[in-house]
Amino acid sequence: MIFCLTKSSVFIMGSSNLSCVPGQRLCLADDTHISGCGTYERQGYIYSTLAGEARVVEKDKSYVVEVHSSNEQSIVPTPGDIVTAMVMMVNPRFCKCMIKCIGDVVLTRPYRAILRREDVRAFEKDLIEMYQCFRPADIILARVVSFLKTIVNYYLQGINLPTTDLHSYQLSTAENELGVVIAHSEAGVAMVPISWTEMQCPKTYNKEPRKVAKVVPESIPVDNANME
Amino acid sequence: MFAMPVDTKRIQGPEVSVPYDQFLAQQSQQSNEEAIGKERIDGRKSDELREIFLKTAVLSQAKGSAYIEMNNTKVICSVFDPREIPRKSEFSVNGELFCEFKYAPFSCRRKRGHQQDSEEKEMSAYLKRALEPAVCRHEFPNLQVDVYALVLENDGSALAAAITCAGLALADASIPMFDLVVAVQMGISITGKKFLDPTLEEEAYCFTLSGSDEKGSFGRVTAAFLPSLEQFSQVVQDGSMVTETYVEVLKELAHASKDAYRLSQECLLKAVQTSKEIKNAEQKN
Repeated sequence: MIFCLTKSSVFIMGSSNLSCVPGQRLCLADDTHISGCGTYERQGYIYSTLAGEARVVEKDKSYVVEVHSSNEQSIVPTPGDIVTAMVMMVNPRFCKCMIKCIGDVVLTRPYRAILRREDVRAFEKDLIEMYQCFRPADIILARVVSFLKTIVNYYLQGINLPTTDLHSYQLSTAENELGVVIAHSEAGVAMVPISWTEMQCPKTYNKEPRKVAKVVPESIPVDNANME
Repeated sequence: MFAMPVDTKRIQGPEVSVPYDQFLAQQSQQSNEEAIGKERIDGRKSDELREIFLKTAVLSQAKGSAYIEMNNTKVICSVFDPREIPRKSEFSVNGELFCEFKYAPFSCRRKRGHQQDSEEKEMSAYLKRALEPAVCRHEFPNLQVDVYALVLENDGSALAAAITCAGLALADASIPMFDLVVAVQMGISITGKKFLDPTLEEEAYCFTLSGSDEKGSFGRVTAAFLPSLEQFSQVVQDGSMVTETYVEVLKELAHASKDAYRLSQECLLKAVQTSKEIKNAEQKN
């Protein structure tokens, strides 16, 4: 029971998906056939790296060959991903977080991450005070920054990083859509954002400073009551 | 031998115990050895594998798992999600594999301890070396994937079974891999007789040097093979072997692992098909 995709059969297989195992040769790699996720290229051929279904996706006049695992694939934060994280500890230079979700996938295991002071927002970086932006137990949206970029930056600035920082993920909230999404006040009530920099407790009406995220609704709900 | 620190919270077996097989039907070891010298006890040909049963997704707690049964050799393997390496200071581009090979206390004639002994540690290192070239380690930089192989019953070729099983479990856990891994063991006796996929008795027979002082080849070889890359990822050999014999044995092992590869492939494809059917059925409902 061995399936093989030849160059011509890729087009037929596009509709009925082909099952494959790691190391299975899928098709020739050329200008029109590109190795996508779940595959690798070796000596002019595309091979699968997962056990699952092979799919062919048309993109810019070429075909991207992908393999999608039948089980849930373990995902790891990669630079550029938007993640949901919980703030664990805040100090004047950085805060330590736990990454709970990547995109809309909930992780089985949290990953440690660090959000440095200069990555909190894009403007007035020198005026940022960490404690005015985040508090422990806040839930934040952030973007994963490339490891290498930060390491090179530090190297150029001549800063010696504490060794523990190097192998945790680096986060950034320097975008309007990123920042605190859920925060609780001292009274223990979930707070409501009132501006870019403040959140208010609905119980005590105390205002607390935060770097608030502008949450973009995924779909605008239709108000049925008004329609009638 | 130094005494292991005793864990008082576990039930310890009696200090002095007699293996149960002493009470089995009396069969002198000498005659048994003679029998092995002539033909294999289970009636296989010298280049025939035992029947293999494979199953993936046997454990619910692990991300991926597999079970292998080769007659009386039974191994279960579990693989967990990539996780951070505790107390690690420098950044590494490639992820790491952590492999643990363990004999269950009841798996051998002699009771095994609950802690890894030196043999098990050695086997863990072999398992790691066999699996590492097959895994796309660059896909999880700075993280570690845990692989646990537990031998439930050892009747020879336990390492080979563990490697094959771990390869399947990794694929079941959707860890990206360049290729599947299959391992086969071969024993060679001083008389020049070859045993593919030897049982425990045959393994022991390969190390008896009684009645010969000629400098022949004897011992056993376990080879892990990446079938579609057509490369050996790891070869373990003990005993003493002439180069020509060794090369010959490796060729035979590579050939034999193709049979095992077909089974692993089939097992995985079947798992993919069933999950596809389940998904389709869910969509209909």
